[in-house]
Amino acid sequence: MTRYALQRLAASVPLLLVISILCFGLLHLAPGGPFDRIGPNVHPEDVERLRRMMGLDDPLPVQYLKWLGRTLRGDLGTSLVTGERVDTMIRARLPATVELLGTSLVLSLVAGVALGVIAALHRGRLVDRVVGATSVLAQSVPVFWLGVVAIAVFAARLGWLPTGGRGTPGEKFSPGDYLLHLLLPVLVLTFVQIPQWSRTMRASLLDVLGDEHVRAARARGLSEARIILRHALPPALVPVITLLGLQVPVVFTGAAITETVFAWPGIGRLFYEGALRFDYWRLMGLLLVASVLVVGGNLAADLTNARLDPRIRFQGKQ
Amino acid sequence: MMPAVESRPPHVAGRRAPAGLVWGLGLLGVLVAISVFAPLFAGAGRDAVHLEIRRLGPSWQHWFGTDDLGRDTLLRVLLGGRVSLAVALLSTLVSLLIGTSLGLVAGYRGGRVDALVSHSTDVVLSMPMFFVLLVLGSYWGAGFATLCLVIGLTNWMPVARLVRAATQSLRDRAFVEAGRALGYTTRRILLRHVLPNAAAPILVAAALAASQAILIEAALGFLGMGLRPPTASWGVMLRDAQEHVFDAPWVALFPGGMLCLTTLALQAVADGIRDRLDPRLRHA
Repeated sequence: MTRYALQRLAASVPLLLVISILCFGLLHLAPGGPFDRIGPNVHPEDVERLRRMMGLDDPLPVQYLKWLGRTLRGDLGTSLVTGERVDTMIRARLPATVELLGTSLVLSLVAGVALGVIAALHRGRLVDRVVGATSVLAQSVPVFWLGVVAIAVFAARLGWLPTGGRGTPGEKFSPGDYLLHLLLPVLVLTFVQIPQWSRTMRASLLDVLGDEHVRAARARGLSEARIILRHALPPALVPVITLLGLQVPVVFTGAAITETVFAWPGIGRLFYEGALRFDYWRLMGLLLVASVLVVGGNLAADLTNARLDPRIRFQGKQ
Repeated sequence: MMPAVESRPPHVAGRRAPAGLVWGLGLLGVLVAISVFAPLFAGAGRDAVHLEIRRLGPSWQHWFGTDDLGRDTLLRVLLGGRVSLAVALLSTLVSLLIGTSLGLVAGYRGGRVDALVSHSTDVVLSMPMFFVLLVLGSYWGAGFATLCLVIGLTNWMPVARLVRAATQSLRDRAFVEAGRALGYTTRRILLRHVLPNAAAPILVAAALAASQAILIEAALGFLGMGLRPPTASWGVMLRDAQEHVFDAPWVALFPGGMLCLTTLALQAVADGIRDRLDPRLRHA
């Protein structure tokens, strides 16, 4: 197990390097740069001097290597727009994103797995059909639309909840006010995320229930509850965990949308604002964080699965 | 007399198409038809600004109400459908072209070629895609052709994986081997013998890619990084509408509703085909 983990860990280092090169290339592929919208009042020579100062006149490979060297020493550089350190910016915005996305991810996962199990155990019956139909519906609803509609109903029409933001502007922080602001975004995000878990869980559990080891457990006369909880559920969770590993970074980068809808001051907005202004180092910093999440998510999922299903662990040893 | 030979294997005989496939295709057909014929409903002076009828609620004259510039929302939803569906169609074609060729070659050749293609696919899949889309969208999203290209280029990976798996399972089948024995070129075997037999998984991949493309276009338009106003794509309309949730909520309701219906139809089609391929997953 340890060897398997170390092997996978070692393989992810070159992967991250390749991804960072690709991202760097993509950022610089674009026409234009951070000084496009600087206005007519700045002398072209000053722009040139600024570019030199920021190291933007180096050849691209040099710029990349400098960035890599800095990053390996733990320095993500400074924003070309605000002059702030990139890691400070990210650290300031990260908690907001984690609170919103983490809460909804956990809630949807718990609800989705439960619904998926219920649907699978009542296959073809009314419960299964209702869960199935609802999840097909919920899956096709884009989160930004549901968000706008929810704001229109609960904030604009009924006035029960605030339209957005992390707290009432101008008021001191209070937990009640904060939770009130968190409620609507969390509900919307949870709702749209439930189907992916419930559908995967249902399909996977149905699959496992037909496996030989479950038939063997039945033949041994174990109770149905024990068969499901001890023998069917752990291997059936494998695809769910794999999906979770894939989904964490999707949700993280998708934050650009949800945070726009709910005026939530998190990572997604930070990236969005950076993308509008060619803030290379800010974008590279955030792309790096996101890539680490992608690669780390896959890795964590694979390792968890190797624990849950011994067959995966022993695959390499045959 | 020889008994009549049942030409289809027993597990296929007499099975009807899944209900989801039927209504999904039907719904999709209606949506496409509406979009194709939208200019006919529009008449002259379509999509014109009428400031004297700004932000009217739904009524008999304006079924879906009017927006903040007095444009008819129903009309803009219909015209927007043309744009959204066209983007989905073209970008899906791009994804299919890339994904299918890579998948066919990797699955058929195996060995080093397969390793190269599969690893490249994995690397691209490991990129934080929505951030990448935001960057590309802010540079190239405003043009119709470049937007289709951007979405297509970021969306081919699932197609490549599905086609590769299908090709691998077909590679050693007797009819493909027969083709090799007859000395057909690889190109001919892939295009004439493998590709048609991989049609079902390719259709699933296409439907999923299209629903993904529609959502990406809408998300980019919503964030102001896709097509720009006054183009009426559903995402661009939602961006306009968000500023008016208080005084004209209906403007947000309808484009989003159409977006849902379209992705719903595409998902139903994909699920329907998949159910036929793997009946264990069926709900009923």
